[in-house]
Amino acid sequence: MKRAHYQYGIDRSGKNYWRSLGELSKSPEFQEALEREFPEGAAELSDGFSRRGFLSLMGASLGLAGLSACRRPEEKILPYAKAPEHLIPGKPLYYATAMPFMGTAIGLLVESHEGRPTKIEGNPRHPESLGGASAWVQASILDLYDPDRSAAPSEKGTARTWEEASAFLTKLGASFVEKKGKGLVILTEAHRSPTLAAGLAALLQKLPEAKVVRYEPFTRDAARQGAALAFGRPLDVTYALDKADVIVALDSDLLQTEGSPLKSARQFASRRIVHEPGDKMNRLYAVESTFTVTGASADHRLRARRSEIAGVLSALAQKLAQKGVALPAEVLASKSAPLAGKAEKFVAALASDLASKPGRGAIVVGHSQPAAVHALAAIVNQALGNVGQTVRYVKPFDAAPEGPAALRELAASMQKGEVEALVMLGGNPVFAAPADAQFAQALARVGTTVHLSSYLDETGAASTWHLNQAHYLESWSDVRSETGLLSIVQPLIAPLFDGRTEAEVVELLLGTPRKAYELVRQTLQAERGAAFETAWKHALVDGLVADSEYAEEKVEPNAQAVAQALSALKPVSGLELTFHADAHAFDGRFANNGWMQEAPDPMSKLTWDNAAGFAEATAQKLGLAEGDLVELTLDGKTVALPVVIAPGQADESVSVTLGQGRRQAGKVGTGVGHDVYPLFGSQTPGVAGPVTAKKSGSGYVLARTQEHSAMEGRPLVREGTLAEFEKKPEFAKEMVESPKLASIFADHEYQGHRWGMVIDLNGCIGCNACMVACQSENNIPLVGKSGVIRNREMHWIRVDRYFEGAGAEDPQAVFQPISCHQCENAPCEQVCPVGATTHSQEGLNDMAYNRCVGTRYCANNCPYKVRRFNFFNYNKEVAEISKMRMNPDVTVRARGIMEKCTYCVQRIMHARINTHTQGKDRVADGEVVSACQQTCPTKAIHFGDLNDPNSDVSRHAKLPRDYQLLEELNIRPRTSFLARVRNPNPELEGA
Amino acid sequence: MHRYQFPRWTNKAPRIILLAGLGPLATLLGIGLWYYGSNKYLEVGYAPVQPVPFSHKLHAGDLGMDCRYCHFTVERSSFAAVPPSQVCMNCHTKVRPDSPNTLPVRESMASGNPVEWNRVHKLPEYVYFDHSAHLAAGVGCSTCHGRIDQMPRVTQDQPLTMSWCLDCHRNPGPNLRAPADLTNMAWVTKPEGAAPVAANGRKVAPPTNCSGCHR
Amino acid sequence: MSAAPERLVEDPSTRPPLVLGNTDFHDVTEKVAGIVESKAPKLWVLLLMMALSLALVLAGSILDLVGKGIGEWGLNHPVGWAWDITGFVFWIGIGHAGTLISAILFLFRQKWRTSINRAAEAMTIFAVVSALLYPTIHVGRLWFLYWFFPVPNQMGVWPNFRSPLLWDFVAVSTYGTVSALFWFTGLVPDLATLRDRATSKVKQVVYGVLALGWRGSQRHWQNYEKAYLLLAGLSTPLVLSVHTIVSFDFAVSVIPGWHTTIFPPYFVAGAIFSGFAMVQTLMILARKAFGLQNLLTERHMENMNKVMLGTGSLVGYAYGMEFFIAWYSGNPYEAFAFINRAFGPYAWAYWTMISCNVLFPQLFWFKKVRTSVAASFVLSIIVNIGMWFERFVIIVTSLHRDFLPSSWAYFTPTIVDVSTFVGTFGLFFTLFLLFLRYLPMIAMAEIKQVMPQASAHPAGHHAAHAAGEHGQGGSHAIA
Repeated sequence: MKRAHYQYGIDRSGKNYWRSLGELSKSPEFQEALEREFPEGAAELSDGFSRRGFLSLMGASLGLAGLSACRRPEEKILPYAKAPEHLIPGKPLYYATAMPFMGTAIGLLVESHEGRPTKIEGNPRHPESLGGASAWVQASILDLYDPDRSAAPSEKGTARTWEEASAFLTKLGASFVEKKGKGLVILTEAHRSPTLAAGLAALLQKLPEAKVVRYEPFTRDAARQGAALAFGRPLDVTYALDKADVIVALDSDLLQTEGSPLKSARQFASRRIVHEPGDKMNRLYAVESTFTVTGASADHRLRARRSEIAGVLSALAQKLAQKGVALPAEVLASKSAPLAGKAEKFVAALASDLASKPGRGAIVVGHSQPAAVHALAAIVNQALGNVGQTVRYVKPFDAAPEGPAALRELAASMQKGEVEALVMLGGNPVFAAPADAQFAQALARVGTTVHLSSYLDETGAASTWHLNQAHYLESWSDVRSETGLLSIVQPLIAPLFDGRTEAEVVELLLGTPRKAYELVRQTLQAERGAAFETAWKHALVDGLVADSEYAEEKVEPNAQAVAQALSALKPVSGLELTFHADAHAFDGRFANNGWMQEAPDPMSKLTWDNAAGFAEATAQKLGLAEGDLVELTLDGKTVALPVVIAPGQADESVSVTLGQGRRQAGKVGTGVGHDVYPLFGSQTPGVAGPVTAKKSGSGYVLARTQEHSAMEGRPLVREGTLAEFEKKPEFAKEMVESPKLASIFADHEYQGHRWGMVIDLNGCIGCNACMVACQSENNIPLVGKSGVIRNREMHWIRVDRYFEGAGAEDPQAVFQPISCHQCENAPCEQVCPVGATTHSQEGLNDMAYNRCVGTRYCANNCPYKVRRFNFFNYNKEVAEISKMRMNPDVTVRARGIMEKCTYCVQRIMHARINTHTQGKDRVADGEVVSACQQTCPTKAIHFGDLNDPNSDVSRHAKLPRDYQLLEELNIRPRTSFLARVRNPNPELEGA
Repeated sequence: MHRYQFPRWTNKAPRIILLAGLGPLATLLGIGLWYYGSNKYLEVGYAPVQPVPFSHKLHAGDLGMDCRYCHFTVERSSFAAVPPSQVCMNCHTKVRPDSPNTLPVRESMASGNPVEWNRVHKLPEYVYFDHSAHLAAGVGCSTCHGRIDQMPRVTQDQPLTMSWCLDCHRNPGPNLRAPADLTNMAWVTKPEGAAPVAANGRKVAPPTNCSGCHR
Repeated sequence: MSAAPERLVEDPSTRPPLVLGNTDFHDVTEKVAGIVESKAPKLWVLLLMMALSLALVLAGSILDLVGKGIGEWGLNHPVGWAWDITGFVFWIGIGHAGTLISAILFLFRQKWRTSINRAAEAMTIFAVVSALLYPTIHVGRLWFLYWFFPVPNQMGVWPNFRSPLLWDFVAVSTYGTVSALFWFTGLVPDLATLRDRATSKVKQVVYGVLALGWRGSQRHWQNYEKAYLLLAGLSTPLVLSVHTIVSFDFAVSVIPGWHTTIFPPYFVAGAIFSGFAMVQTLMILARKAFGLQNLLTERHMENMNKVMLGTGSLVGYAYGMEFFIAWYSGNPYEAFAFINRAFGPYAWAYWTMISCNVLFPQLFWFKKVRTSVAASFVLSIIVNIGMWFERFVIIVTSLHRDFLPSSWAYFTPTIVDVSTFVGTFGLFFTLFLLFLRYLPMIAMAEIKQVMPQASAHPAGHHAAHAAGEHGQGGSHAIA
């Protein structure tokens, strides 16, 4: 009925956009279920505001008593007694530092107001961030001010001072001297800090029998071992995707959760800029079991169970060999089930594409794949001549395994009673250990257990000693990127809770208590010798130590070993279970971070939760439907999760995320979601099975920010293929026709600036970075799970995700960031009775919070639905500590007030004022950078002055792909989009 | 008939109502309006006692010190810094080093604790005023702060209401001076219709839209 | 004409009498004034208690709302208005019958109005009170509501005169004021009657003051008639303007389903429709409670039912026209909005509306139904329900799915939504019950003018010129 209705009018995309699985399988109850934004039961859930408790921790109120112009309270001005250097009250300062994350270093510039860091931004000079920052990086500043962080060491629950703790540690270290350290084990995260490494080396020198173990649930172990198989020695693989014409992501979410995502995303996007006909772009093939943002950005995507990826790769090898690529016979010998149908075509096309572009392709294998697959990929890359071009091997920071296997061994020896003392530096092994390690029980058998962590978490509670750790923004350290580039981690504030760093704890064990600052300097000194002081200064200013990368390694393939390893692989028979990093909590470390919990999963749009993703067919076979609870059982252990029907999920494959369901995360994260670690094994991390799935309940309420995934045939996200673009560059503009539009109101005149934004949908990978950056910059509050269930989330910019394509199994996904479009003919401005939202002289759609009475008429009348209403006082009862996080340049909104994207007007005004104080008249292009634009890893957002014909934004607005969303309403939006262009392989057209 | 006739006195009813009812009401209203328009409500003349009996009259007036010696960030920042105790001591280590008046400052220097000055000029939290912008355009100190150089104790000189701000933002011309005059307390506003141009010839177009001050 | 048959006469040459049971002027006065003077009936006390407790629920809901925030209602993004504005439009609509009956029917010399206009006017005023409550409490920060008033202020800011909400605010308050004046003017002669019959000093003084010294002299009657005519003239355009402007709240927006030129007439028709339904409901109750069968005859009900049949069909036409235009305009968003109304998640609400407002009123084509008290009562209530749903459908189904499917959502009311709405009924009925008890619920003076006794002409002729003898009739009334 509905669909029939769209035969005429606007849908020229020719694409078959579908609402959801129900719409394809026209099952009535499914229809019904999907008509509802969420099940009736959900809506009735009027626990209204039960989660307000935690809200008290989030955001802060600058005491908006001001909102009601009340009588003056006595107020003090407290000047410095002695003014600090460089600091001008009211002017922010920026410091370069780096965040150790995902086995690399992310270079940052952190904004600081009167000595308190308020906003994280990527450091443009740093090759690992290139000015971008991911959602997690952006959100990490919230952890710094988290009142749940532990404020002091404690022994068996009784608080201790650091003096006592230090004494204890020194004694502990000394007690092992005569035993040469036998029985002492240091467990660290998969760190990459030379200083910590040096400290541990010194410790091992003093106590040769002691052991150092590294563990994180998500590591590059497999890749490293793969390299060992292929080239005889463990190596880390890095990519130069900007040089690649063909990228193959084999079960690799390289744009979001694996490798160095910021770098990869930027390099990937840099090759997808098509401005004029004739511009070339790269081509991304994704083979994956679960729909990831990487798969969404792919030109071609093949669904394959994770345990069958190996088969796909060897099939690819076979095809390549047929195309004359010189591959060693051994690897070809390893036979796998022959592919058929779509997969077969896919591989064939891919093979010819790769073969035709030697040295300009890259096969990227996911971290969850076994070593053998990495090895084979390495051999193929080598054979294609990609190694040294797009694929590079460098020596690992530490060759020792750091994945689940390592922890299992440690746990085993703990069980045997070989470990007298276990010192855990960071991490949360009790929660995040693989199930088969049975780490918790093992820990109980260790005499002395020490845990250094920012939180008194599951592990801390199970240890004799808890030591509170310093956040990376408040401590001196250093870190090497995946390429070995050294960055100094520079503190922006003295430890708020008097925490210590790993290196400092090691020092205490050594009995030589030096401060981290000295240690870090010492490490660099050791590396730079004479040139140290200048190197140090530059390191602090630039945020990196120049030419400190590792040299690229020359490699010689050894096919024999690879062939053996491959033959050992076999796909999971029956239902396979795949583990992924949680879009909110990552591996659990961000579980107590409200921003991350409320930032929706890019694909499922799920917040405050995690779920098991099933392909529709599989779900039907198992009698499961969305909102059911399913019991997943794997060798005796059972976990119950809500079911999500995940389009693009491989059949016979269930995807779950690790990191939710923390038992002791803090007021925000405890009890959010479901803990899946009990099913996480160390034998083949990443995939397990066969797993049995049994429906165990229904009516579970999923808090989603977007439930409706079809465009209803409306030309919202407009896209075409490269070929179509060549033929008709302005295809996007022509997707809508409307009568001549006229307004009854006079046009605005702009002498000065006219701010505008252009968002390149070709660049948007749906990573949510802009969302969280905006939240941080604009003091946006959280609403909690119940709030999201009631559709009251406050994000000023959201990333809409639509599914499109012919089938439920195998859709394509598109993303569209939507924030206030600052319309020229703004519907909101016209209807506000008190004139709280008006048009500025520079074309902004101003929102004066302090004038707003809250009729909500503007929000009703907003076609983009980007206006956000404070239904409650979300900033009430804020912990003092959290107030320090707020951006002092942005008003914190009270209850009953409408708010929305302002194009970061505070930044615009600062730029204006700076320009004027310098005696200049016009703000130069690029001086105003909105928070979303700044953080966007792919630089898909362009912002600036539309009145300046040469500005970046004007040039993009003039491009043929440019179109305005809903322009037919004559609202004349300021934000426009560049239509998306895919680059499908002609061989696969239509497939 | 008499039963349902009003007694004679009710003929005076209108006058009575007028006098007893509307009259007082009107007066009350008048008083109210007057009060809300008055300096009392706008706190013009608000002059709290400060922890240190610092006299701008003496320093800025008689001694003729430049405002920017103490309020050194005024041209660079939104906030015109209240001088750190350090700055006071620059002179007062030599000048009357042990006057009881400067005792709090010396204590603050010793202890490192700030001197707790009382704020005189207060705008609501949702107003983002920027000193540097105003100085850059040529709006001098006395325009908003009055004859500070004649105030032994600092007093609020202007109403600091929104409409007061807007008056100048809509017609900045008369209040724009040469950079040399910025701290000149005796400077008198130019005649109506003076061109809104800064010293360097830049046209001064102050924002009159919301986001100019509210963000 | 005492020989008038008790049943409704169907001889077209004569109009059936408006007052039955061989009633004379004195009986009318006895009957109506009696209600005020006699002891309160048990039923009345009971009803008042119930109404008051509901009013308390309202007070509680408002406190909760103001204390915690608008989030206590089920509103969300994108549904920023739901039960609040639905309730507002619902009550405003009801408020229309009063003035319509009093003013327009008065101007058209529809004599039958006299027995119901008083109560209808009262109902109007109380409905407007309940209506005005909603816009007041639905704003996020009602303590700043005074910014709606264009008063000079130190911020140098005016309200936005382009906003329909402002027009609305002005229109409704004007309407309220004029209706109140109109009502009071009509009350004066009857208040005088009550004053004259007053048994206690207090009553005498209170009614006396309210009666403004009315003595029923020729001059009084002349001024009274003038004033009444003027006010009638004043309020007639208001009846049309108010709901027209209320409809602008929606018509002026860009939201598909709101952005429609048909709204003004459609809303006015709907308002009259719902207003008459409410008058019908109340009058049938009052008639029963106070035994006014002779003054509120089947004929009155039948006429009201006829009006409902007419306006109901108008509304039905509007529903149809909306769909036609949605298709004819070729605007896919518009088209979707209406398809979605009829077949989307809120289809249940839409079809409730259709059946209550369009289908059921068709029964009024049958005289049996029109003249049956029971049927009229049930149908009037059905219509009231239907009209509430109309507003709900227009507001919520349009908002919950507009342009970008990504922000589509389903609205579900909370307990506070319900309690607030139910509470407004409490307020309304409290006021109305007090009115029934303490003021003459039937315009004695006016009804006497339409009784045969008031006619100077031989019985049988319809008293078209009766207006000329009002004064006389009136002074009789006092005697």
